[in-house]
Amino acid sequence: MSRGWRQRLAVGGLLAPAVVLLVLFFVLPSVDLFRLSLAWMDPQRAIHPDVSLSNYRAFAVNPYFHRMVWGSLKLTVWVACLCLLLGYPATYYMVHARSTMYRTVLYAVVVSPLLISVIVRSYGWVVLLANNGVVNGTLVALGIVHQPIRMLGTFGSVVVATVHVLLPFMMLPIASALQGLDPALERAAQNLGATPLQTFWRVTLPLSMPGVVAGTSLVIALTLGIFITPLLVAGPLQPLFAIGIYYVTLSELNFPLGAALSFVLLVFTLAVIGLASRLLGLIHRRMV
Amino acid sequence: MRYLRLRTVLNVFSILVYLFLLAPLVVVVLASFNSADFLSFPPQGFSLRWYQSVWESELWGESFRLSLIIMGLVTPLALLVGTLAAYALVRNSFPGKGAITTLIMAPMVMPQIILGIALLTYFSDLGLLDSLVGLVLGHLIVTLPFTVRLVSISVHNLDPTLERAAQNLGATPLQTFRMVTMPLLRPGLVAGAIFAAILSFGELAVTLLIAGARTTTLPLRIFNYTEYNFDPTINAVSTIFVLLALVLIIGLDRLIGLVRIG
Repeated sequence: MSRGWRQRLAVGGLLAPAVVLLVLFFVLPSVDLFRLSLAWMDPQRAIHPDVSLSNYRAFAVNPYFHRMVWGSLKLTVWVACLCLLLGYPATYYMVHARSTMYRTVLYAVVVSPLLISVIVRSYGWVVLLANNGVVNGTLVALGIVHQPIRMLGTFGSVVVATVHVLLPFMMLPIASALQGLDPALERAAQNLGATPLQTFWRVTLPLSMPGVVAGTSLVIALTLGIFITPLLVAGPLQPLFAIGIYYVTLSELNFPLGAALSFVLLVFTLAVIGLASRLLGLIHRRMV
Repeated sequence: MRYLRLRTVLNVFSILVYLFLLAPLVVVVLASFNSADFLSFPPQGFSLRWYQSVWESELWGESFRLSLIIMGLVTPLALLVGTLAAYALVRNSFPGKGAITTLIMAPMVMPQIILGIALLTYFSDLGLLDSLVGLVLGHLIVTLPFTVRLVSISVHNLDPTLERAAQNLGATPLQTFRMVTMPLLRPGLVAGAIFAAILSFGELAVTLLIAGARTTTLPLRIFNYTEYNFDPTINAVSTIFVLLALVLIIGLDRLIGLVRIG
């Protein structure tokens, strides 16, 4: 056997377990789900495996589904913008922290949410925002309001909790982009007479754009699919795409419709990510 | 002058963002020591009674054991499969490498509700719903991208000349792997294992769809409790998650440096 063949065989052998696992329990279930989305369920809950677009048609004509697409889109825009606005300055601050110890602590604050179950993080917001929770308790105690304000169950509570859950996914890619930046470039700009602000706008920000694009895409994808956090802070009636799918599949037990909605969501997610990275790419080109 | 003021604004703003990240976690930890029977603020008094009731509860114990068992099965499997794949992907270039990388990373960006529903329908055909095997497989798919990514960092930093030097000095491939490759990869492997373990232990998105009454994991039990009532024991259980993360974060920093996880 030649060296090339032996190497190819070794690579194949190393990759085989991962590929087999993913084909069996990721690719095939997805294909299966697509086939199911073309089946239809009659009122007696029998599933007919013929090829029809009736589920997709149901999505197209039902205003309930349109409302939830709109809700998810609105949530995504809010969450992506807030994550960027909160995340970029905070990441910049973290990467540029002078003391190594302090920088490590800040990194720990950003990474630790990834290590804590999403249920615990979302539940924390219930404790904060409930009528008898921390925020309302403080407001009432300070005499700012007399009656607790209803916060749980509102769209705003979903935005706040989702931003909290997804912020690390925006910050970590930006952090790695900012770390990879050669500090000599910033120094050079300043030596050539640029003010710190000019240096930031003309050098630092454009060069960290790949991190921004990566973080934003990830946050968009995760926002469109998030359902545990909104379910916890706002309940199953919140008009959101992922919650709608959960409801149709688990409460109405209409698997074919749930499958079709899943694929609409997938296509929708890819379209929104594509659009967002086009937009950010355009801004990036304008900058340099 | 103007720059200094701007700098101060940036600092204050950033510190507020970090406080925002910490707030819900700190609040849960503090609430777990509140003696009141219901959610209340300001707290009514210090008490460890909720920890005691978690400790004595049959149901929480059962869920805790189940989550540990799943974690114990998922971690070595994810680490083994992920390490082999990471090694192959970082060290070689071959046609289709991009496609395989995308396949391995895909479960990370796939909207979780879709992954959950796909596994729900697939497992219901295979009879794997509400089963230990089903949960282990589901968690494996979710954790694999993270282990591959973390181990890849270490493989990337591993200088191939060291392995070649060992072989030139007469080591067999197996000896080289055992005595050179493995020790150098160890930090990445441990980091990958920690991530796989913690992701599996806290996983809920997929679990919620494929688990059932016989397989109520710890996060699933928290979810079920929050849906119907405000049981203060949730605070105590949640605090365990927070403390575990604190320990692991220190471990991760020692191993590969938090700065490189992103």
